[in-house]
Amino acid sequence: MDNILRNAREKFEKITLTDNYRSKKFTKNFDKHLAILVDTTIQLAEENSVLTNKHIDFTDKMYWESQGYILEKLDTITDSEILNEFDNLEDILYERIKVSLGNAYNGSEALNLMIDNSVHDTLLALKFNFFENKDNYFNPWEDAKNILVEDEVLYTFSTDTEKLNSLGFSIVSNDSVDISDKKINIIGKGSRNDYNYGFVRDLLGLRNTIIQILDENSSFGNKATTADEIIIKLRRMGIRSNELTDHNIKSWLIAPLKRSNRIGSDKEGYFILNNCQDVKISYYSHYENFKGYYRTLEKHRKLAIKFGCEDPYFSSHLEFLKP
Amino acid sequence: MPVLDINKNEIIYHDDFPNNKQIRHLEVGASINCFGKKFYPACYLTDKEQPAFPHFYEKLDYDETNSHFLDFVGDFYNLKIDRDFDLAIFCNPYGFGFRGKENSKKFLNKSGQVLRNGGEILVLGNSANAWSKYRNAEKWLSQLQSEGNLDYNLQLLPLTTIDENHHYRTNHTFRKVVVTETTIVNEMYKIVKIN
Repeated sequence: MDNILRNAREKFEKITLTDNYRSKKFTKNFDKHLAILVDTTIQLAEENSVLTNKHIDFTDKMYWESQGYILEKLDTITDSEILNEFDNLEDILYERIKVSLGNAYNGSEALNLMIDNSVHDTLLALKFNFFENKDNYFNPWEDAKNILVEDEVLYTFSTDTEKLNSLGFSIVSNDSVDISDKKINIIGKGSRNDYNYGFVRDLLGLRNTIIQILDENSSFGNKATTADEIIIKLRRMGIRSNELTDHNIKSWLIAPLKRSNRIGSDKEGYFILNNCQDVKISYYSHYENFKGYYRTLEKHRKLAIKFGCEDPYFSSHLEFLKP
Repeated sequence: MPVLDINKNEIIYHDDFPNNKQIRHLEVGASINCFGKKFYPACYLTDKEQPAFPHFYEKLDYDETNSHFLDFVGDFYNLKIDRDFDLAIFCNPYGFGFRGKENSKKFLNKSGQVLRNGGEILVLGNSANAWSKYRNAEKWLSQLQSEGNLDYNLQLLPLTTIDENHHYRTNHTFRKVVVTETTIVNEMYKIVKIN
């Protein structure tokens, strides 16, 4: 553990900000950070998260509450030596960032808030390594930390464009009304005087948009909508592939809806689970897949026996099925 | 069942924010809780966002689980009022507090602005919440004060650890918005505005 802190100190003492920053990289990292933050909240809260069962758009407050909730559940650090070292690392980060900004440090509230945010997310990414149950989760702050450490920019974000504009940023939106409120603006700043901004889509809002698409298509158990049809509709609403690739839509939007039981699927596509019949159709489809996987795993187990492999690993599927 | 305050009076809605000078307490970021109205009666509850719950006074038979209790919706930092309060309450705050130096400065200066001399900031929270954590309050208040970065002279009082038997925990459910679980509030402290 000492090594983790020592390595962090060495890295933080060398932190610099770049003078060549484009929004693509830091928005991508923020997007990944947000997806893991939301999904970790849902994972920790199981059935108790409103992030899965209410038709809501994501707000700053939800972001902070999600972050607070994860920390409340996982932060187990009480060792005062470690906590003191985190205080020292915090001071180092503040100092290094100001040095790296040089003349671009204007002391404004907006810039100082960006520094606060970047410093804290970087420290949280490090702190996560000291949480007892860290192995059960992805580190929600790893990608946020990379905005400072790898992309070498400071950042802040908000779902509230007015708030950002009141801080002195000038955010312009050209979205259709269907999705204009489902975005989160991210401001990045390196060592130049100016800043750059991009945005990511509000994943929760977009997941609800997918539910609406299925609803409009009357997609229930007897009439599925394919992933391609969903993607086409989202593209028509203005979501470009450089913001969310087809793969991102499948893994960040559709798959979490399936995992949280909000939609079901069969080989034809996806549909809303509204009654016993819908659940039965989805169940049947997954059961057929399950049988296929089971037979394949059994064949592997038997082949392993034939080859004389005595590794119990090959019975993992049988262990998994034990009540 | 109506919610009662510590004096066993039914809590009420105040539609006159911020003008009623008899109301000396202000809770900021109150969300769907009603901590201030319960434990510090004569309290305005405020938040930046309207929670997705009906307001309690709209319901004849309201209870804590299906209502919100706000008297005013607006951003604390943009609040312009021509009066002061005795107490500003922050109950497990998110988005304002001690998460970093500038956030702390902004929070302390704005809180100082809405308090009379001798008035207090009351912060309650979970020890993992960076916005309310005592350790952070201690660090940033002392640093900002020594650098002359605060508009007011403020004094941090010692931490009170709130255990499960504390009357706040036995008589109140600290609810969240993103999850239906409750928050375990285990830290409480005050900051006094000297002048």
